Amino acid sequence: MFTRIIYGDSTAIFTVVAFGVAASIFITISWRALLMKRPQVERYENLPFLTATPTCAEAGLDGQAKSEATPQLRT
Amino acid sequence: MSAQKTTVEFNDKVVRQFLLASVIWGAVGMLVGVLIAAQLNFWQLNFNTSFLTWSHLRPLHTNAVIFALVGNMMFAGVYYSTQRLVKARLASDFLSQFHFWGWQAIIVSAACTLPFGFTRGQEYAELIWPINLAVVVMWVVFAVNFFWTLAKRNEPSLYVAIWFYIATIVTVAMLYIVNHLAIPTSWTHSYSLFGGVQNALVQWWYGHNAVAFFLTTPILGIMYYFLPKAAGRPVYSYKLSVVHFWSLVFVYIWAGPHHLLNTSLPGWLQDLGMTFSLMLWAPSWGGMLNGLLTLRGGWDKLRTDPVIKFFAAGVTFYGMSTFEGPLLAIKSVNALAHYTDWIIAHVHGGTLGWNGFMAAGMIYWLIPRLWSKPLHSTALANLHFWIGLVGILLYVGAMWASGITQGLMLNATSEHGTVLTYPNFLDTVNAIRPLMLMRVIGGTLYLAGWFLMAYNLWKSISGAKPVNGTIEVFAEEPAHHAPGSLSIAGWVLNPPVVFSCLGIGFACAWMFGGHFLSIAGLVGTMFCAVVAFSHFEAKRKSWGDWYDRLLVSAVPFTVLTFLAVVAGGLIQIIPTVVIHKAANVEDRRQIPYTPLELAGRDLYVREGCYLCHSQMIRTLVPDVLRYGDYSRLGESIYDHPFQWGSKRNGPDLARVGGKYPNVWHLRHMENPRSISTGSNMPNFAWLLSNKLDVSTLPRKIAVQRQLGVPYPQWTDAEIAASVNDQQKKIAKDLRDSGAYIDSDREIVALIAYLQQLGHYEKVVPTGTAPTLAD
Repeated sequence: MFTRIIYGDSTAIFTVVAFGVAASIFITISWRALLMKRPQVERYENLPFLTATPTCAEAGLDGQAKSEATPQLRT
Repeated sequence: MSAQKTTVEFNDKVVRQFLLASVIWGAVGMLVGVLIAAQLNFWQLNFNTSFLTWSHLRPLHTNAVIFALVGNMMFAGVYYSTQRLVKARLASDFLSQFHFWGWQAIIVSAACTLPFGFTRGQEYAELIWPINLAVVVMWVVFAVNFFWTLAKRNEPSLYVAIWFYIATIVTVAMLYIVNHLAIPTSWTHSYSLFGGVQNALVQWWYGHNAVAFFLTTPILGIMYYFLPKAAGRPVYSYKLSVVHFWSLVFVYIWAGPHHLLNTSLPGWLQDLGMTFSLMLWAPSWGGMLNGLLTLRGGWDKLRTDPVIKFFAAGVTFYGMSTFEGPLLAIKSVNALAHYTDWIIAHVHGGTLGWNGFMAAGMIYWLIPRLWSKPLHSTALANLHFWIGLVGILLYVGAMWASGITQGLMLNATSEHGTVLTYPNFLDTVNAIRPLMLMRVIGGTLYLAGWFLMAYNLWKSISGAKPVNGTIEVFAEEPAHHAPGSLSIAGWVLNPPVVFSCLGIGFACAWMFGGHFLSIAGLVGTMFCAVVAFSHFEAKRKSWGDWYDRLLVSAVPFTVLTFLAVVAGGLIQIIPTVVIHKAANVEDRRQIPYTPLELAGRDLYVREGCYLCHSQMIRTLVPDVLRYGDYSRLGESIYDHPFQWGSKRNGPDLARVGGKYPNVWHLRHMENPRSISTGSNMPNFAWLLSNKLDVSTLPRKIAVQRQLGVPYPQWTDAEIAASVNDQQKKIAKDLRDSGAYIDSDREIVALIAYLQQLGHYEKVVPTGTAPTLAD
């Protein structure tokens, strides 16, 4: 059997099957992503902005207090 | 239970530590890079010392930039962004500090061993086994700290950057452990568990995915966090980021065999590697466009903000590199490009452009947030960008031109394809010398930019106070127990997982089983597919709900990610694990080395010869015309580690045995230019004076026997006698040729090994492997 794995033409089916599996996963995930609802998407994409990350200037640590820039939310 | 408002102070100390370490080690790694680039032009820069010789420093350069520059930068970015995305302080201050100092100790250990020839002889996996163990321990510490933090999180949802970090942690652990499996012969030496083609496959499964999961996925996570923050707007398409993640994670792991195209690797594996490499175009460019389009409406910032400049250029280089990678994985393109400087151009487009610029962008963004002073000079940061960009373009442009020149010259034939147009390898070396010099200039410019950043950083933090971020959270109950997350039973006993497991089980029975099992597997697979589809149609909502709940459940998500990456590895590696057996090899089989030849081979590995010389004649006409009959799979099955190589700074050596007399090799190693005028190979004169250490040979042969190499049960005395006999024969031959050398010098062992290369035996029909005693 293992000699067949090295030299046999039939093992080409590995590539075809692997391609099929990968393609089906790609399609499934794309389909799932497309079905995501707008509120869900907005919730996820704004996660980085839920925690403020002010610079020292914005935090007033160097005497130049400013407010954290408000992220642009999609509507 | 009422919610309690508490203030969480992030652990930014460890972020600052990793950030500073990244800048310092990055400078060291790239300085070594510039030196070895210059050595290829000016061999005198090897200074006739073993520890400053090109082949000893090259692993130091690659390991430093991968594990020290990118590694430290990655840890800084992961720790900073994860704490903020999950609204929790890192789980353990002790583990954070242990991680930082342990990682630096590993880097120092690498710097103290690699230049002195302590190596495993596999690219990007050179570190000796005690350091390998330390890397595994530190990676586990990182994983525990990370997942423990997720368990304590105050934000139930897992942002896509966290997904990429999870994929990085589980995949790198798997790759690193499998590829470094070895049996020690001493405290500083070991033999890989895998040999020959099996070793080649596992090594490039690791090597390719080290690029994928160490240099790419964590940086993509960093991109998905820091780029929106710097641009002040959310990522262009979160949906696209979801597709990007799953397709990248699933596809990347299969593409490793594209490093072995046109070699003696089984054809189906080459097809598999090429197919999946081409498929990588889609997710890679999806991610690249997602990053660039995040800057929509904010392109004006490119003029003034160095952070945006670095991120935009970094993502662009990601796009360029991920276009070039699949292109190079096409067999016919690979026939031209492999073993040439084109690959060096490709690699540096990714590392300098993608990793280096993303690191710089992140560092400039973090400086005023981690210390109490703003960036010292925006103008210097902008200058860094332009110097670095020009440096990359010079470097990559030069190496593209050099690689294509090399490929065309080495493959050029005349007389209807029967005669090489440039039979002397040195013709190509001398043709690309100006381009190699341009690379040195490009690399120097890039390094100068890095030093500017180091200076800017130093001026920025001098006199500044460290600042730790804080956040106020309403701690009601642990987020991972929030409604919607999956319980342990819930993430196993659900329709998608159950049907997927059944389907895979039946498919394996179909493909690998015997006659009856194969038919049962086929029927089962079809039955499973029909039932799964029917169930999906009937209970569509439960399938959809499961996926949504998965996205807020860290443990099931991690397991699923692990399964996605492990599938590709298993399908490639399991069949080849068994074909390594000599009985399954047709046509030709390697003759096991004599003890002296084995000692010589260990010197070959120690000196890093594989970094410039391949031992793989491809199934291509110009290769065969130049080096001899193409290499068969069986001709290296006893090689632990394999030495097929990945770059030809010098000619292939697979059939060099017997091509030249012993004295030729001695003179060549002593001073290559005395034999080959114009050669850029360093002198290896110390091999003529160093005495060969034979004390470890019995242990080494015992380990080889454990690994399946058919050595007889020699006693120590028999091994010593065999070494002595062969040494004397070679020394006598050298004396007869006018070269007087003691028979116990290292050069004698190396000559014994080189003269054996290319010798094989015809496979006997019985399929039993003979031993040296036969």
